Amino acid sequence: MIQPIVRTDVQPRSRRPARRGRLGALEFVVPIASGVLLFYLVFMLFPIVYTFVGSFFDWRPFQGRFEFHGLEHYRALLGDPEFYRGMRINLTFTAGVVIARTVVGLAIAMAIASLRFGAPFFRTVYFLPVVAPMISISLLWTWIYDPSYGLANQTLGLFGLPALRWLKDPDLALLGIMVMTVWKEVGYAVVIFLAALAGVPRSLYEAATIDGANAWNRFIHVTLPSIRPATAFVVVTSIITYLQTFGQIFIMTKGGPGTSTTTTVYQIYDEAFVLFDFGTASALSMMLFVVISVVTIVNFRFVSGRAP
Amino acid sequence: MTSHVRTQAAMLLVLSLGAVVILVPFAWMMLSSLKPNAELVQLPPSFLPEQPTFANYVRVWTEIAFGRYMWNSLWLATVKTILMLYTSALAGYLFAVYDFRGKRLLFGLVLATMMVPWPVTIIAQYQQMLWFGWIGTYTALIVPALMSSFGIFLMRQFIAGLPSDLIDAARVDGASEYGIFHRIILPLSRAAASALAIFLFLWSWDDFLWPYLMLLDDADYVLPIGVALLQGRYEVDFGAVFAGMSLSIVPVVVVYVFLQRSFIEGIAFSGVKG
Repeated sequence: MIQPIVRTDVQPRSRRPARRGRLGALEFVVPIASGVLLFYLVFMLFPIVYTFVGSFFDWRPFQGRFEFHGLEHYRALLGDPEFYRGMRINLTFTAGVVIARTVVGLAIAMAIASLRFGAPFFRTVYFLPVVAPMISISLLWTWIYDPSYGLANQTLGLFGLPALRWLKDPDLALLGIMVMTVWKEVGYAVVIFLAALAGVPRSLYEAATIDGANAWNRFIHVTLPSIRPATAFVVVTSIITYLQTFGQIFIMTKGGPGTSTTTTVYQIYDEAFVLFDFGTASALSMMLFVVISVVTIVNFRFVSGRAP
Repeated sequence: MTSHVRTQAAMLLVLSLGAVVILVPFAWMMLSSLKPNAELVQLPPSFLPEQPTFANYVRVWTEIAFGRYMWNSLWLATVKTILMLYTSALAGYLFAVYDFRGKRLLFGLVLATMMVPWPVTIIAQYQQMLWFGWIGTYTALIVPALMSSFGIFLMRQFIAGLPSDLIDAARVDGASEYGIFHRIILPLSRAAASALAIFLFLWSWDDFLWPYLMLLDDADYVLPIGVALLQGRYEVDFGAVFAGMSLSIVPVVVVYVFLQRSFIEGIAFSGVKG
């Protein structure tokens, strides 16, 4: 999926200060501001608060049950090895996809940027899977990984390599979903990096070359520092996105084989919408929320050297 | 000079290999969708269809009602996109131009909710839909999606950068605030709105879990649900799966190839440029 891009640090110049005195403005401000407030209170703030509250309750919507349960859900989760396993799988998936998407995305973008001709063609091709629906691409890759008829084993066969069981193999399934995710969404990073690379002044490279810098040194000392905001952007939005991955796992493995691809997010889905145990699901969500918040804050500090 | 040519050739080669990796799965999907089931499971596998047929598409269209799902997805995405565009422009104008008490707090609320992961809201939202009695209706898909934080933010940034003279002139001429919004702000925001429209439409087209949880009647399903249901045919009707996937992927890809400048500029516009 394409992530929303938001840079709150770029503030447009506020050129028009108060218009409080105008009566006409009130006709606009009061209804619109109330509308926005109402919408966000009902559909965003309330669900967040209610999920938090609900994590302390035995909450089963279809039995009409909502009874205070104290810290029971949290205690149960913290004593459950599956919880830690889910978190570990969630973090492994995220780390792998984020690193691969960033590194491969930058490599492809630099290769495209260096072309004398054909750059628009390659940009179009690499971005193509990004616009395709995730559910359909996940199903397509389930077929690619099919042990008997899939493209993956056919390709291995062409090179005389033995067939693999891919999504049916507990050791390979998570990796398989990671590869598919990078394949689908690396093009987004390519486009962001291409825009950033186009903004690096050529004179910087020329100056570095005159100073005797080789290609690697130019990359380390000119390219990387110049595209730092774009890198930070790709890394941070990717982390937030992939910590919440669901569609691919739902279509490709349903968390299996065994629990080898059961991330915390998949556990939340399972508790909430298969078992309809909203209390446990809420407690899991809150834990995930804490992890995502911590990772995001650390990341902003680490990557961009400033607070969000 | 020769080393430069060699570098170019190497880059072209590597990028072309990558392009093959991207394109082959799409080609394989479309070619497979034209093969009868027997040919799909034969060994050794064929790459080009030996007896091309549209029978898979006919089955997907008649037995699984893919036409219906596509239509549902199309009008739902259109309605949601138009509504969100309008509310984003209204709220964006509000935050860009007016000052009022609590503005910072309200805008902070809009931005903060963008950072909240979906698992944190979806459980209580489901409970809300139960209370409201909206489960099984499109109301559950449209009303909670009436506003987009991303859209509001984008439109606010854009409108704040518009020249103020036009607005001031209209105001001197005695235009009402809504008149200014509809006759001046909206037309001037077309560039930002079209970039935003592409995002909103794609998100809606892509959206799976919430419609999957909310819609109960087979006739109401949207395309991603139809595609997910194809899994039921996994072991029996391979051709239908390929045809269904192609139907859900190809239209988006075709639109993208024709509008790709707007797609990519939209990303550059909303992202790196701030």
